[in-house]
Parts: sequence; C-alpha cells; structure tokens
Amino acid sequence: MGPTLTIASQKRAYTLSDRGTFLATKNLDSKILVQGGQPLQNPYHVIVVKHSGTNVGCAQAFSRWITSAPTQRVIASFGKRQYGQALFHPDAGAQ
Amino acid sequence: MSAPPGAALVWELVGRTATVSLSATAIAMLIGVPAGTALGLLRFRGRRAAATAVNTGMALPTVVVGLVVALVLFRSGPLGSLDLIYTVRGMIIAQVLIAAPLITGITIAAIQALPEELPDQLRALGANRRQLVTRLWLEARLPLLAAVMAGFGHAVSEVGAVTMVGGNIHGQTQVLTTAIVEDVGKGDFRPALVYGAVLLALAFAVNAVLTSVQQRGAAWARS
Repeated sequence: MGPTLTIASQKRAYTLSDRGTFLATKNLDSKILVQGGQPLQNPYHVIVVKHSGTNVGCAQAFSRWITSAPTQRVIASFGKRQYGQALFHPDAGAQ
Repeated sequence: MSAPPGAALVWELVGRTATVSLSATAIAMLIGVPAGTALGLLRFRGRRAAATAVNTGMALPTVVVGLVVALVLFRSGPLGSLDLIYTVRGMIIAQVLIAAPLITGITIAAIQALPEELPDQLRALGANRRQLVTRLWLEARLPLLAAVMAGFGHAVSEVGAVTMVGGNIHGQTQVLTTAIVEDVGKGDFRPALVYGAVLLALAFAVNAVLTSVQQRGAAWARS
C-alpha cells in the first residue's frame, strides 16, 4: 500500500488507501477527498476455526484476548502518540 | 502454481527491458568511451583522482544510484518539475549512471593497455586528433566492446534502481527484473521462472551480437 500511495502522490493521481498506511507513509502531498461512512469500513475479524489439527484452545484464548476490554483500549490508542490520531477503531462486541 | 504469463505480457516486458537497458548502454557508451579515452590518454592534474572516482563508480551499488536519482526526480527534488519519476525515461537515466562508470573504467584500462609509443607514432605520421583517437579505438576495439557488454550486463540485470525510479507500474514501467521480484514476493514462482529464462535469453542475444562484432574484429586483426 505504501508504494501505491507514493506513486499516486508523485503522479498526482487518485487512489484508495487505508488510514494507517496513509498516516505512516512519509513525503505524501496527497489530500483526503473522501473518508468515513459504511462503504469504506474495512473491519478485521477474528474467527476460531474448529477443525481436526487446529489448536482450538490457543485460538479461543487469542480471540478472548483481542476482544477483551484492555486490549480494545490498546487498539483505540495505538498510533495516537506518533500520528496524532488512532489508526484503528475497536468495535469488538459492538453491533 | 498459477498459469504461466501470457505471451503478450512477456513480449511487452522484453520490449521495455531491452528499450531501457539498450538506450542506457548506448548513452553510457557515448559518455564513457570518450571520457575513458581522455582519462587514459591525457596528462592533467587530478587525473588520478578522476580515475579513482571512476573505478569506485564501477562498484556503485545500484540501490544507491536508485536512491539518489529518485531523490532528484521526486516532485520535491531539484528536477521534480520534469515529471520523470516513475517513467521509462527516468529509468534510462538511472541505468546510464550505472553503466557509464563501468564503460569509462574499462575504456581507461583499454587505452592504457595499448603500446605506450603508439600515440606518438601516430602523431609523427601526421595524424590529427580525430584520426589519432579513431585509430586508438580501432586498436582497442576488443576491450572496448567488452566494456559495452559489461555496461549492458550490469544495467539489464539490476533491479534496485528501476524499482525505486520506475515503480514497477504494470503496463508502464515494469521490466523483467522487477516482475521477477514482484512474483516471488507473491509466492508465484512459475511466471518468475519464465521471466528469468527470458531475461537470460535477452542477455544472450545482445551479447551474441556484440561478441560476433568483436570476434570478427579479432579475426581481421590477426589476418
């Protein structure tokens, strides 16, 4: 995603990007034209696969940990200090 | 493993790779052979330092060339207004800087390997400067062609500079080496193998032509 943003910026072109890469890529002249709203949501899911040979116990532990309130708070503040705004918005359990 | 790349794409990449590296080699030759001849022939202050700089340039890492050329061609850089970043012309500029020191350095060695008294003999026979240089280049044509082959080989095989300056844009600036890196990065070895074989074939074809010119010259020299 970084090279795409750099090339789009140098060629004065439009592109579609996630906010995290946009904030982390340096020397961009690009401006955000459209952001937010349902069509641009890009949720990350955690799914426990129950199948022979998979480590269901560990997967469930990871799932519980990533959706727990303390971890969600870490996600909400991740990147704030470095980039001035959050890179991700936690929504575990939200409907 | 995925399907092999289509013939149209392979030809497109071969065409762009050949265009970029042959143009760069030709320009580098036009710079390097006269520059190397001057450094090999003339005696002036700083000649040794210049020759050392050229020989260092022969070992120039291509990623460093790419970095510097990208910095210069970026919109924020000194030549940013020329719109050369992520273009074929920009890639040619980068490869000229890669091939020129090699061609210059080998040319210096080729000229200095000629018999020391040859320039003076030619002058005594009434040769003007143009005739003198032409005669020296004819005498040194075997190592001079080797210099051009080395320059082309370095240019066509490098990936660092064309990635940074060209951007590997499909249909615009992708060449065989950057296509190989991209496909291996995606775990897609089959097209990468095809491109690798085609790149070898291209290098073979160009060097076969240059070698035939070189060896014809060699046979003529001995007869």
